[in-house]
Amino acid sequence: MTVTIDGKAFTCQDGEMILEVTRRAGIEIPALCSEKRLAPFDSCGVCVVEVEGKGVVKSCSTPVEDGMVILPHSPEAEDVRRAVLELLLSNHWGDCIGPCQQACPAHTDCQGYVCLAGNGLFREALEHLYNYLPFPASFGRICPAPCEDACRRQIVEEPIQIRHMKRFLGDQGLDYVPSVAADSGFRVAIVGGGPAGLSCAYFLQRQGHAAVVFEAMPKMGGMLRYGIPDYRLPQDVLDWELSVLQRMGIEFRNGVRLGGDLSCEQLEKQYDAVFLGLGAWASGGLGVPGEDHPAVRQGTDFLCHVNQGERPTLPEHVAVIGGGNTAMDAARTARRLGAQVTVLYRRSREQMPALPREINEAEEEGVTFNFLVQPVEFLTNGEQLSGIKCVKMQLGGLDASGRARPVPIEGSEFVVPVQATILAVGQLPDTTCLSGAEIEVDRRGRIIADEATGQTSRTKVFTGGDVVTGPSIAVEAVGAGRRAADAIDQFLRGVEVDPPFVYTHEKMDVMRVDIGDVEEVPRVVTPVRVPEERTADFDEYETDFTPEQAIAEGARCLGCGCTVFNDCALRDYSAASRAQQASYAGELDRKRPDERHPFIIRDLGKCIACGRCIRVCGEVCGIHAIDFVGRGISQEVQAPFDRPWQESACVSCGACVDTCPTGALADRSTLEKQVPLDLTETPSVCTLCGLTCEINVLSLNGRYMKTLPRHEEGILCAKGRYGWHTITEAQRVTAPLLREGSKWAETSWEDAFRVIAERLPRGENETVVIGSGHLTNEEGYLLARLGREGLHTTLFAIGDVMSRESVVLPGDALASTVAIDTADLIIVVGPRSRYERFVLDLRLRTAKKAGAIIIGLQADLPEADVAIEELPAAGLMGALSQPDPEVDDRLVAIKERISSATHPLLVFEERTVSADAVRAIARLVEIQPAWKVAMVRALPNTNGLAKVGFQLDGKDLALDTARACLVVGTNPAQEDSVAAKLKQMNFVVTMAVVNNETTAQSDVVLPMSLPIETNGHLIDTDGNPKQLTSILRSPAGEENWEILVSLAQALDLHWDYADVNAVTSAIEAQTKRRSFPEEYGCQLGGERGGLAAKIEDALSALNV
Amino acid sequence: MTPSSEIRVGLATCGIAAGAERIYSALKASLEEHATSVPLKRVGCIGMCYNEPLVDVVASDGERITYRQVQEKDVERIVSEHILGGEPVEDLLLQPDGFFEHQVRIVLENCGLIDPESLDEYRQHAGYQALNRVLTDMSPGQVIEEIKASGLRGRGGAGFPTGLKWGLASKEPGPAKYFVCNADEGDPGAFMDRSVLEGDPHRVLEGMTIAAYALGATHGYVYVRAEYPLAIARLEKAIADARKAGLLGKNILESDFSFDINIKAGAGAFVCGEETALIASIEGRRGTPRRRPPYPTTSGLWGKPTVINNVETLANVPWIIRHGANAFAQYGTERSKGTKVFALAGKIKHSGLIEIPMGMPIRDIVFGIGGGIRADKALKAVQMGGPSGGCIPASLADVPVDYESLKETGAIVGSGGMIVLDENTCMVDVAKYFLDFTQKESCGKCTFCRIGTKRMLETLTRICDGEGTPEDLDRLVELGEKVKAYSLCGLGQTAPNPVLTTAKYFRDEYEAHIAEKTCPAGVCKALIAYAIDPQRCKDCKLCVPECPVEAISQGDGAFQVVDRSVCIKCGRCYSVCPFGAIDVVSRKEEVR
Repeated sequence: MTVTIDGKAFTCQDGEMILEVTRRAGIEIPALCSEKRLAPFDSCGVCVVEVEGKGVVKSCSTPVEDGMVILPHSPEAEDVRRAVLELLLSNHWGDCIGPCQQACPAHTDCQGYVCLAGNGLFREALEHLYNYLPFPASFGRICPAPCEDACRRQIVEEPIQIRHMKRFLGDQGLDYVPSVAADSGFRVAIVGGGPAGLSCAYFLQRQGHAAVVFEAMPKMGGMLRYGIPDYRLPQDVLDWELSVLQRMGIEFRNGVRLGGDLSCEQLEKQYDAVFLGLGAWASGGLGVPGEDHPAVRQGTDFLCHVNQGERPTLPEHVAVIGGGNTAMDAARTARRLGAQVTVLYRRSREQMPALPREINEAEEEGVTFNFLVQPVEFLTNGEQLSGIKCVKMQLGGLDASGRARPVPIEGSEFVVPVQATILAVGQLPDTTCLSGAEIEVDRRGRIIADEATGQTSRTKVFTGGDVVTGPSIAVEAVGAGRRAADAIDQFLRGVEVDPPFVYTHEKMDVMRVDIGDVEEVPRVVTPVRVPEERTADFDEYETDFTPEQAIAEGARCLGCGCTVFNDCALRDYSAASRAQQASYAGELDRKRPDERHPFIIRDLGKCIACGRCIRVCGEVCGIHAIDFVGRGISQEVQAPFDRPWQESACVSCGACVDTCPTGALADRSTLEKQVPLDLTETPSVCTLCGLTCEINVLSLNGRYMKTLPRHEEGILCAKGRYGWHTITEAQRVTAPLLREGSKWAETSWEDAFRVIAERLPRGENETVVIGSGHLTNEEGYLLARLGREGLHTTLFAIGDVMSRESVVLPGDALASTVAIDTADLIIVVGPRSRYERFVLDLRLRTAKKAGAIIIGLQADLPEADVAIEELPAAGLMGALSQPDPEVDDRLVAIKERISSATHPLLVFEERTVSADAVRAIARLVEIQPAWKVAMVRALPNTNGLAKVGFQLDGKDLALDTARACLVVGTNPAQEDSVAAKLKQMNFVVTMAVVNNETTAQSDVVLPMSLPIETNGHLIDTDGNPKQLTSILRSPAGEENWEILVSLAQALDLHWDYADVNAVTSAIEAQTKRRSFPEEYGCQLGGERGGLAAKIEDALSALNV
Repeated sequence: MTPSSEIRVGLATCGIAAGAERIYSALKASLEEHATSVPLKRVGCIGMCYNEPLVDVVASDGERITYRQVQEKDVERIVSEHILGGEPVEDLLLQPDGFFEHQVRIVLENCGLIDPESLDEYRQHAGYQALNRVLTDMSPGQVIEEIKASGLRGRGGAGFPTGLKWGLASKEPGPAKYFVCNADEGDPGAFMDRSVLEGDPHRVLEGMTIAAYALGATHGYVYVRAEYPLAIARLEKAIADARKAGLLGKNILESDFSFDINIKAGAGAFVCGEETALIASIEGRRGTPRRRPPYPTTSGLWGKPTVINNVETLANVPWIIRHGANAFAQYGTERSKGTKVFALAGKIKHSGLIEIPMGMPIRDIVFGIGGGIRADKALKAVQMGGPSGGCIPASLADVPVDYESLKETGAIVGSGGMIVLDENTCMVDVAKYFLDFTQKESCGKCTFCRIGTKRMLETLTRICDGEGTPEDLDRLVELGEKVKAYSLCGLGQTAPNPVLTTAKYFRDEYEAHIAEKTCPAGVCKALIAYAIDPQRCKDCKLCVPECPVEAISQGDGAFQVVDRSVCIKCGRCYSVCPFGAIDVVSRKEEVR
């Protein structure tokens, strides 16, 4: 049948739901409770579409009918969708981003860098900060920090020192130059080298557009340089930060003035776009007699001169008129020049626009304040200014700014005796330079532009900062510069200049009780110079955090913003529907996050009750650990009795987290303090067992953060997902170690190699080489070559369990685990391992759904149609291969089913089952040629190592006669018998990730990289090659193949591999690629050892 | 004088609540004392709640003499004067008041007349004759045709044709089919099903067995709420007796037909009255609805074809089989046949359980059977169908009670709740009451029902608190329409009805709350004040000790005054004043 969606025809099948058809057709219909793997649940109501003749229906549960005309985005459907989303939002207790970031005019992610710093990751914090702000050290000194006003920590005690953190990070001296995208070929002229223009230039340059900044003054910086005194912002700090911009390739052209040296028209012709960041440099006046007296100076002019190094002589008494930050800067500067300073302000102290901190500090420095006075005339005595006649004021009704209007008190005139006056009563943009440029300007000289994009009446010309808003705080100009840069980018790329709409949810009216148990920790305050000292010079008066203080202050952050801010369907759909948070505002349950699980954070205030976690847990994973509890609006997803999930049937696979469409379920990263960040996602494979599941590793600057399944519907076991969380840097071997007597000492690579070259015997078969199924093909190949050519040995083993027994299965009976998907009868032979089985069981579930019959022999398999648990699998297999099995109902039932199967398959895990059972399997496949066997390897690359010449068992190894041993990536000494033999050897060298029983027996220990720190290949359990990518930095500094090459060189082998690919090519040239060997040995028995065991121990709290 | 043949005491839950157990014991003791042999019998609900406890004395010629509102002190007189003396106690007798005259009793045919715990008595009243006829003379198809012909529609609320439903399930292949009796009566104020289960349980079992035969079901469940312990006890006994008598179990009445019934007690979630939620609950899962189709007739309990009928529907079945489809179809209207049981409640003189032919105008029910409004106040509206229903204003009192006519008004027949509202009822408050119920009972699955009803309730609360804005009313209706349209099950689809109908018929009342900040009915506490009229006040001071906050004190003369800054508006003074001297005034007057 055919349906029409948005005017296009699609064929579909009877019984399909509309949503399935649109998914198949690649048409996106928002849906929250639906998921491909799950049956329609029909609860959220977001997936509504209009069907002609039927009205608005839910697409997830409406079957298609022939000729149906479907309109996913009709006004009616959108209206319902918006209402659903707004209802969900009305009951959503969370912040997409922190209130700090929300309050910052430049949208700086304060939470991000504060928390990174709180984790001690200063470099990462600075790099993150640079994504939002090009002048961290400068703004860390001068920003009035609206973020701190919004900081929720003040509900507990005091806001976080966000500004100071910026300063600290900027002052780290980390030589960071932000990366720049490939050159787009576009050139943009920026007029004005102040915060607006420089920010615009910065963000354009980062996007690959060449920015050229024109500035009339001799140096860049604008008001940062010429308006802010040095004691607040030293020139060298600004110079350093400007040099970063230059190093990014931004071109500075100073001493060029718009209107004089160049015109807007010219720039429009020569450049692809123009940004005007002219600032507000003109000064306002009082309009009273005597104002033009030479002893009456403008504050900005005064500061500009002092900032350029002038030190004018001031008379004893100086008045500063005004109540803003410029007035405070002028007053404090005048103090530093030795004058007695009185500030005259026509309103009261509370109404002063200057920051309270500035006012207090001015007062500390001896500035006096005279409030509620209005100058009415400047009095002269001959040439000299003799004083200011003022009138006293009182406060009346509210004016347009919402402040009480000062009204003169009649007859209250008095004289303030001063010899000089600095006027700081307001600045204005000076846009006369634009005359003739056809750019609209309002009557106060401000350029009229689109608020969101900065685009002016001339489409190629953009603007922002004080020239648009009038004088404002610098960070406002950074925001305007960035918005304009984004708009210019759209303009340059020829797309519509339209900033994307971002929905941002906010917790409203947060109270102390909503924050929960947070210990009161006062904010870290660094010392400032005492007033007497600081007024003597123009040096900085504030001091930096120590690193410890920065970490402590970062640790105070409450972490308001959501960790899945960038991956939330509710947020995306709300933005697309332009939904409003407040439309249905009402009571909501202010739940606090539940952090009882070691790796999963549940924030139920963000739950939208779609039930996907519950259904995936039950329907897909077959675990049924969680369900809804309660009714109506107070229902909640819980494990039984609201116990921590890890104490329920939960297997910590994280599938619930992956399906959650909001931030209600989120994975913890390895950071102590969680930080919402865009992480780098790199594909790899899990190497913690033989299944080698495909994963994506999420990292930050080469630092491991978390693991996700690579594919949308993939599911990992707890070990694969959270295992790497448990390996910390502290546990790692990070440098070569030499044993001197009973002590270990760190040494250099050179020394370590020298000792090895001296002591490792190279006579025939004097040294045993023990590799591991954890090594890559490349590592195994190099190790084998090194052994053969450098050590002249033929003794190679995969040494994870040395004393194992091996059984050989005929190659033609072997199938890959892919056969599980097509078999009609599957006998799973147990016992099975704790974690690996979970992923295997998912595949068995799928097979069962597809009609396969599942039989479990000592396999502890919940999906089994017939199961025998209490008898050893070996005996049962034996009984099945007899013509007449023992009379047990279940065996008879199994026999019956076997006889009718056309594609029977045996599945077992290497090493968990007994040798007897595998022998029985071998016998069965011998007499039943239809049977196939799928064996799951215990280690990721046993097949690869076997291919390059390693034996699968260590029985024949002459450990007794060998004099030395080279062990790489395994821990054979965990078996006492091997440990005893190693002890008798002359020399043992081990490469290891962490210290273990074998390193304890070694003379030299070399650090090695983890698989996630390694480039190379594996041959998986099914014989297919899989690629590993080095995602993280190895603490050893080198990858294992590089270490092995260096070791070979120390052993006088002259290898020449340009990179790991050269090794790969060498292997390919030497070995034919074939899935399976003729015979297939498998390792059996013994304890699980090595890194995987260590990780499993660390995960024991998960109760899997 | 005719000798008495038996004495019946109405001992359904309603009677027990009114003290009938004590009357029964007193009667028993008295009869024993007098050593009379007249049997004393427990019967179910006769329907006259307003007259409980009720005692019937049945003469040997079958004449029934009823005593109403019997107290323990009356027992001795009834025994000595009437049972022994043969003279009815005139001053205790029930006087004809029109309650029964307009009723037609099919479902309630035996209720209040027979001993519900006696299978024999049920059989004496034609019990199981219908089953016998079905098993001996009729094919399953004929049974379905008969029910179809009768025009019986589901009495649970939706009014789906019963015969059609059976027919659909009977056509499904396979031997395993289930039949479920839905006795999860959850509407506030509704007790129709409980009365039938308590008063005539075998009737329901017989109906179920006939239905099971018709559609080929092998097993049945009665899903009854755990809050009905007496109904459950009587059902259990009835099932046990029926099994013993070969009326349930294998080879019923020695036919080839086997069928058995289990009771499943529901834990009290309102939504479990919804078919798919009910199925989930029986299966041991969380009781939440699912999408239909597939309908339970195709895939129901344990995935098998399942028919779910409510108690009252089933109670009609034996009668239809016994009397024929035409006899049933003579009652009612063109599309709504037969009778309907209602729980008549609210500001009505004769509150109780009634059964009327479909199509009777509301006015006749209220003023005919119901005896009119209490204290002869004006009828304002009738709330029909419980929380899923709506309010029909007095101006539409001539609307006939049938499925289609009621639907047109925005209300529904529903399961049979009928609450009469007088002039002192605030319609916004009524809407709030019902929405509060559904909001709490929402299972929480659908967004619109889970959050939408909550937000609607908050808006209503704001309006009642005098904080409503003019936009609130429009948004309330708009949201209500969406909740109705996009919820998955009947609960959500009908939850806004009380709001939407009151907003439609009583919009002025909402507007008064919002614009004038007054509650015209004087109900919403935030919008009213109490004032004592000095002229009418007789200074009796009865109100003074009644006030819990000492807000009433001596006025400037021989009258009392209420200090409104102290008054908590509990209304106790208003209730206690014998002279009607206390007025409910709007808060606006308070301001004045």
